[in-house]
Amino acid sequence: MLSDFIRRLRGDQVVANAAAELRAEMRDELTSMRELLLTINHVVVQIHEVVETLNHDVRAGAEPVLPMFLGHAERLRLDADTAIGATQVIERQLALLAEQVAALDQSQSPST
Amino acid sequence: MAPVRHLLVDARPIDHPTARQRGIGRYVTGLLRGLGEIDAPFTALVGSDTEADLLADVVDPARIRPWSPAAVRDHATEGTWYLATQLMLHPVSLDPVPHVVTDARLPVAAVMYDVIPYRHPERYQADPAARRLAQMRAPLARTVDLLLAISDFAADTSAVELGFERERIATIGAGVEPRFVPGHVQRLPRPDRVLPDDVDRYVVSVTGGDERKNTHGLLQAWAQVRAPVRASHRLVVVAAHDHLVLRQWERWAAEAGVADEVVFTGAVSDDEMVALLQGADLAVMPSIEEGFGLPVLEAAACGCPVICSAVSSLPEVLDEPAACFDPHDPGSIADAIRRAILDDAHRGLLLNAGRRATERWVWPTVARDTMSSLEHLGPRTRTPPRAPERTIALAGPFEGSASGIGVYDVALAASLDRAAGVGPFRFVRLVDGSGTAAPSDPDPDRWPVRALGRYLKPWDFDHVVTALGSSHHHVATAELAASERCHVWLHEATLVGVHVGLSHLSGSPTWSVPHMRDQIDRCRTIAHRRQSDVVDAELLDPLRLAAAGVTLLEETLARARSVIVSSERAVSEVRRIRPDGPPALVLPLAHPRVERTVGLPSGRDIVALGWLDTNKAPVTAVSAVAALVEHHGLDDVRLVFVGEAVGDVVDEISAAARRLGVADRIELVGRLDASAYSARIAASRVGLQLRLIDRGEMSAAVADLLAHGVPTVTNLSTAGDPSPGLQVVRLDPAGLADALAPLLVDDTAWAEASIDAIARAAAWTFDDVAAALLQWIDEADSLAPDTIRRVGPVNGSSRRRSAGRQ
Repeated sequence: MLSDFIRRLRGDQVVANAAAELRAEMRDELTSMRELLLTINHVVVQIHEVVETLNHDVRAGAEPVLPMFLGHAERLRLDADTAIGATQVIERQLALLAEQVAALDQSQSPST
Repeated sequence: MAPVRHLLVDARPIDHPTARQRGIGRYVTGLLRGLGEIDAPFTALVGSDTEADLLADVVDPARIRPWSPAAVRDHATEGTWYLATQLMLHPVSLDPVPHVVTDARLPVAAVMYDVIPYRHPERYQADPAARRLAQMRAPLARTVDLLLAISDFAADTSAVELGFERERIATIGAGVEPRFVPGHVQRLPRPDRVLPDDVDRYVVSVTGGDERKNTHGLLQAWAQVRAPVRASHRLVVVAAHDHLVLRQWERWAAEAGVADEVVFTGAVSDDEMVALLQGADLAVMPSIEEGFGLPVLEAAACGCPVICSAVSSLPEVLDEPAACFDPHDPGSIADAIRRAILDDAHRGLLLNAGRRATERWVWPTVARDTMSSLEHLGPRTRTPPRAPERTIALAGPFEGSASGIGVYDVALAASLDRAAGVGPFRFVRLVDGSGTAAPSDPDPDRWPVRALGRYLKPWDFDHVVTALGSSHHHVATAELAASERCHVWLHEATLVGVHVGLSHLSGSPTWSVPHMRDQIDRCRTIAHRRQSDVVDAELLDPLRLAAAGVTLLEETLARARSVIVSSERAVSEVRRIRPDGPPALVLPLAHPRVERTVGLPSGRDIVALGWLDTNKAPVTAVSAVAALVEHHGLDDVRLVFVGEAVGDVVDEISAAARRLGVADRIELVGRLDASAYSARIAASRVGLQLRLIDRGEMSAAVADLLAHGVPTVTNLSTAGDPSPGLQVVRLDPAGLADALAPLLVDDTAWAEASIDAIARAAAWTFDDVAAALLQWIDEADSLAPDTIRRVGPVNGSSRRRSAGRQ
């Protein structure tokens, strides 16, 4: 009976260790995803700046191609907007995931 | 049961970019009206003054707050919910669930209007961009705690299309605006603009250009309505339409043989809509799918008998099977119209059904159902809310900028970083200028200034301070200051240089002249005052524009939350342009912290620092050197200009130096990096900082010189009380030479002046300025708009300073 208990305890410990490792991995994943989001957001803003600069250059010096360029610029701007929307959604999902990981941590901590 | 203690409602849709005050905008207005009427604990969060103005007649103004972290922070406690009202609106980048709500860990409920784009993808997701938006909305919807659908049909279809748990979707319904009343309560005049003179009795139908509105089926049905009805009635189709839609409707009407019996009104005003419904004998809603079907309710509220489709949400709104028809069968629609017009008993039944609907669907009930749904369903988790961090942004040039304000902002930001380290706030840099925030080096606390309004939102920040100079290095910051409510820090009381600089960069008069003219016109409009006329040829001349009183500040000051300037002269200029506000802070420039102050230099170098243009009076400075050589016998004196030269100023300096015989006494070294700049100052015996036109700006160069212990001579009116270390004289070569000479020849006088310069600098540092700035931005909103507050050292050489003399 005692050996059964010890075996079970060891088993529980293995599960707990695995869960802790999993949570640590999740935290690392969350961090790397956040870094990726930051990069995407910076690129989006950079795209916007490039479009604005090109827009200005074209308006100043290349009237004949203006309508076509404005069409492309608007398309690019909308795509950037869509990317921004996507990052907002992912950010919220990440925040909620991080909360879940934190709650798991708390429920597994020795004091509880 | 989890009690709801407060509800933060997103009120931005009431002036939505695509819906304006229609549709969802109208729904949000009604919901807020209902919450007010049941005295629910709520706050309406608005994104603009226009939204606040629109809401002011609907809810208690005390319940309206601009979106900001503070508005969320003040309610980040157990029992507070956030109500997202534009979760499914295009575009997602409008930020339906702002970061600050997620940061505060508030439970989120979202109003669910319909999932029509998911149910009819061939029509609404044909465009790849629309498909991508639809794809990202579903996962966003699944992050919220519960959905509040406006009908059971919307609830059922949302559960299926979005993969949302049906048991976490409640139905709250909708209501009708108070303006929709029967004619016997308040009859509005006949809408002659949209209803032709020869139309007497008519059947009205509020439709739209979308296929699901079934205008085609309605026209086919009208053709099948029996002759007596068509002889006495016209069909009035009310809907905004473009010319392509109108052409198609006219073709359908012609094909059905009813072209002369149908009126297409186009867009109508609210009063015209009410009048049309009050005057109609019958209203028909033939739509194939709706989220709710507000036109049914509006017609009923106006006392008009109404019939509708027997599909989607419409039978919920009008709970009377005898009032419904099969929208896919024109014959069924025609029979329903004929019976409703000719059968008096049936009309009575329809009127009773309409009365029941208007009693059932009212905004206070929607509000009560909202509150009880939140209480009964509760949040998904019990994570306690937390107050989001105070966030403060400084926008302007930083490292790498050719603007002197870039150097200043770097030092100020370091002080703000230190303050943030001990104070409860987060500090963010918004960098003006390309190349300063490379995508390869993302940093959550450093963004390009143009990120605000794109990825970052104004409501991400408690305060945004825009540090502005008057050159093309500040274009993006100036755009931000003109478009959002910021604390506008004007290092010069003008933005002319920003726009002239941009115009020069364009290299195209066809662009730059209209740009400048447009800027001047806009300022005239906003300030309601007339500036001196400036002809086109002078539009790109900053000095001419300054002489004409043009500052281009009107638009920015009109929007500013507060304004910060560095001198009395500048605050006078700001008040001249806009006498009634905003609150103004006179905040003198800080002196930098330097590693090492100078010892007595071996040579007799005079140094002039900063951006070199004609306004820095370089020819006068050269003349002063000539006077030192000629009248004071100082033939070893040298004048060194440090800074980027603009336009023809180098030629002017060279010509003057040759003419006065001091060409070998003048040196231009151009722009230097930080260490060379500091070394150049340390090698100088005296500083000389001049202005032809002084607009009340303080000189960062003067501050740099004093901090290094270099006695300085200037004609700047903003220099403060003169003292041995900082001598203020008129712009006159002989007078300048008389002030410079003792400092160049008398070592004792120089040492006394150098100690005084260091003391002046130590009395007002970047840490002092950062502290004063933080105090100001926290208090500015509560001050009267015409407040002028002054801070800084009590006098130029004292270490004491005032925290806030008003």
